[in-house]
Amino acid sequence: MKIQDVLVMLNHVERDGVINRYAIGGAVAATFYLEPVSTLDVDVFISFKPQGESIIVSPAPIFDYFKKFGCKMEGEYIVISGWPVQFLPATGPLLEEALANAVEVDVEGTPARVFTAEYVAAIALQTGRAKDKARLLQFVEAGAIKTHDFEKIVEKHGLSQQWQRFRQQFLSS
Amino acid sequence: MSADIEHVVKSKQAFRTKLAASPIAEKLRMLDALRERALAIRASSARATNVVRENPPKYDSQREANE
Repeated sequence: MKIQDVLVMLNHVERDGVINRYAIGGAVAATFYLEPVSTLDVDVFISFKPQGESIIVSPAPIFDYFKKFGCKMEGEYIVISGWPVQFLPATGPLLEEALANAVEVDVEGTPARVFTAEYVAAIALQTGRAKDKARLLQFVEAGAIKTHDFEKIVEKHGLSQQWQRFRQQFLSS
Repeated sequence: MSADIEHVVKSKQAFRTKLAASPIAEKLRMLDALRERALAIRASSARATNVVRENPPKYDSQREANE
């Protein structure tokens, strides 16, 4: 069970043109900036390749690609090296922008594209579940986000009210 | 053992900061280990135990017995 093998496979699927671009999000992305965040799966955001004239995008080519490498499907997950990996379309302005601005990080010679800390935090603010709020708080407390950049993203994507509420609830002393 | 909570909180914070500053490859290996542990805990809690459990009586069973 090695998450580094997942990174290798993600680079393959992109290089072979099955997807346009990928970036890791969620808890695994948070781990790039914080202490390790325990998780059972890997969230990978992707832009799909256009399939002819069709406006409906299908994940089938991705599933077919990984099947060739002996990977199994488990519900909506593809299991790569023991890790369930969920491929999520980067839909909506925030996710699209996060994918476009994702950064490449070297992991012992393997490149891994990851959302920046500011986008991981903004997505957590937008998603707004308890665990997302906890993650956002971790980012703030650890000083892992550039506040100016984060607040620019927050304002651009209409999340100012949520941010204000979050600050009142968790950051006002 | 120290009951100095302030010291404990500071020490925990320092440990978290140290972990966060670890090389990313090392942190990813920690994720592998954390996931294996989480799965092991899930599996063991899902297994049947020898603990005696009292099942609640069937709804309205007392009335049925009296009838």
